[in-house]
Amino acid sequence: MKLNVLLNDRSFGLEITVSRVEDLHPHEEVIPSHLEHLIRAFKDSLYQRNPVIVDSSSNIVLDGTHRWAVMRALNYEWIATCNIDYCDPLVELDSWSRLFRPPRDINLDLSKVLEGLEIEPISFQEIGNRDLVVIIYNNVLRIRFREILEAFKKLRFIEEKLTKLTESKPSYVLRTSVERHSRSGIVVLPPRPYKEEVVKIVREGHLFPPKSTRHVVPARPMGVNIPLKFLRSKLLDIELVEEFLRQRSPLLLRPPVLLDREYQEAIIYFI
Amino acid sequence: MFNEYLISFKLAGTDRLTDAVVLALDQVKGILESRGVLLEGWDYDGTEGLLLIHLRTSSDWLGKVSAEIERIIREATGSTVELVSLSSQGFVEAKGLLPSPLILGFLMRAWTMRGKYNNLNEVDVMALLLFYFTGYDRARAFLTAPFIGIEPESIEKALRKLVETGYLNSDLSSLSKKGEQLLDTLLPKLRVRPLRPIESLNVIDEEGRLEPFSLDRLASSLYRSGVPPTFVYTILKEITRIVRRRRYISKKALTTLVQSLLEEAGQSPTLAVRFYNYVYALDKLYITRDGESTRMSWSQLRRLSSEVLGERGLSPPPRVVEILSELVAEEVRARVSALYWRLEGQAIDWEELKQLAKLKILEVSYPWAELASTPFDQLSQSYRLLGEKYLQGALESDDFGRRKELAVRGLLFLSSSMLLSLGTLPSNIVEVNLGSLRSMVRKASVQSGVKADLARFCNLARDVLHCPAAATPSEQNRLRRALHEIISLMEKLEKGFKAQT
Repeated sequence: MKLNVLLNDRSFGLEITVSRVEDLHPHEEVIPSHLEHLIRAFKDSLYQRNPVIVDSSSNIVLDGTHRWAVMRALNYEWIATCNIDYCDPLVELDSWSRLFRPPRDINLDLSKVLEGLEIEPISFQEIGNRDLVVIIYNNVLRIRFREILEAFKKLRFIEEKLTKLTESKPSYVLRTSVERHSRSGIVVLPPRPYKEEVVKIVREGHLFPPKSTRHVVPARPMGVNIPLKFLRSKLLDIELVEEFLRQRSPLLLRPPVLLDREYQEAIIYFI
Repeated sequence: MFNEYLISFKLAGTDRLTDAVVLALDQVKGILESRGVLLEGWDYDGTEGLLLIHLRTSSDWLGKVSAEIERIIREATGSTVELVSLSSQGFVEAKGLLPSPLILGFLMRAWTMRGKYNNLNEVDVMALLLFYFTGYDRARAFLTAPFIGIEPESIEKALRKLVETGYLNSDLSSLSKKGEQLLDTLLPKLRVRPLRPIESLNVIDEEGRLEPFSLDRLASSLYRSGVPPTFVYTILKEITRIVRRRRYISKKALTTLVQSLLEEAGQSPTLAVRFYNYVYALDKLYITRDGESTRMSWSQLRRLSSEVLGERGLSPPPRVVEILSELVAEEVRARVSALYWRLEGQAIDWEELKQLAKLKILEVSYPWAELASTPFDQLSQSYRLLGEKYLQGALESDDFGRRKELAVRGLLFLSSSMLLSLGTLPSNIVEVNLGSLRSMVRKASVQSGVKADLARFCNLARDVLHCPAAATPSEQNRLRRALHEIISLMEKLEKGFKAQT
């Protein structure tokens, strides 16, 4: 079902449909524990509630890698997708920053964390969109890299060391809130990738580490509830899926909306 | 002011919660809608225990409504229920994107007709209809298009053409005069017309009673006596062909024709017996009362219905009595049509019939049940407030289908309130209530001061009821004026009724 969503006088096109699981390509690795949790939840479910967001021309899963991996692990033939035009400037791409809040009594030896990396101290104002930086209590350290994938590999290296050192997992925060968070902890801010880089990396057969990119689509369909029994069948008539969807009533929810997480985009909730 | 909101609850605690939630939501709906709050839709994710509810209410009621829903669901499901914040305010404003079912259905039909007009092709015409029926909201028009099978891009293109050809104003905020005139002409042509009845045919029974032939009644008798729906259509078609040129047909001939058709259509002869028993049930039944048996008659059924309906101390209008009598008769027919032999005679006890009438009464008059616990003047007052609230909601609604639904609901409560004030039992059907009020005006059962206003109310209400949901711009203007006038009349009528009592 093709939908045109009018947002501030600009029309954004999307298509809610089903795609073959094997035709899609993830761009990020999955977190094994999260995947296990989702597989268990899916086994109890009758529907795929929310479609994964896919670039219609490259078939890259932009948002919903874990749900795609669940469907593949459970041998589903099809997956509900929301196909969009990745090139549309209304689709934004950024990265997730990592925030660590170590206990006060922990003595952090950062030289061990950043060992082997080329670093240079810079000021807050000097941080650019394409920088990989570590901010420790207002001290900003820029880490050199050559290619975007290398930056994210370094990000993973730092993340793993900090997780071990602080004995805590990071929380994922927006670029815009990094300055505020840096007063209370350690922030690792990855560079903002370009869309072309994401496509190129996937085409070359590589993957970003988990939770690298943050895709913001201007409108996101949710609650489509496609029956899993449809998605199991070898042959599936798209017309049947469209007619099924026509039974639902879409509601427009203006952002910000807190559902399973905070959404900054308009939600088209099928109720 | 009615706005749309989405609120959310987290449920936990019992197994098989989904079924319990559905049952609880029905209770929620009943309670909220009797207070003028509309539950538009819901979604329950059993794995997460997350319930989303789409409501239409005023913002100042939202807190109370949420608490009420929380309480009902907790009590009905036995689970722990917690309000979940969907935003910093707790709830989110939502906007239903599709038109109401009455309008969406009309648009779906209109698209199948592929109407063209002058230089406008079928997509242009549909774009105009979509734009008009979504309240000149392009976002809603685009999102509705795929639900009726049209590509949204073509609607976008057609809207530009409609501006260029002068049917829409250039700022896309409304129809031009030319566009309004087009819809005034076009919409009536797209409406469905009821099948032409067989006007001149009369049915004569064994006692010489004559009544007009009704295809609806024959269809209903066939369905209710258990004839499979696919054969009902065949039989109706054949009977229509046979009787088309006749002026009279006997009840016996009609029954015989149907029985033979049923047999020919491959149905068991038992079905023919069942149909016969159904049609002749009332002629073959006897009522026993105080040891005496008399043949069942409509006058007896009316007396029985009147007795039951009158138990609340209010006089039941003749039409309400008639409807209940028909329902009781229907039950009795269903019982005897199950017999496999041709019925000759069977007795039924008066008290048993009364119990049957009591079971059926809620289908006729819900206020009858409410009057068991609420005094009639208090009930009348609460109905009036609710009725006015619904009419206000109808005026504020930008969806014509919802406007019609709310208006009819409002008129039901207002007419019920007036009937209660006049010591009469209201029914669940607004047309019946208006008929009762009209008859009171005619019989001068009301004082002259109130009479004119009541007559005016009845006329305005009739106009509202007759206005199609998918109304033309002119019809919408008349509808709005009528609703405004009804609201202002209510105050005068309230004073008049008080003076009368």
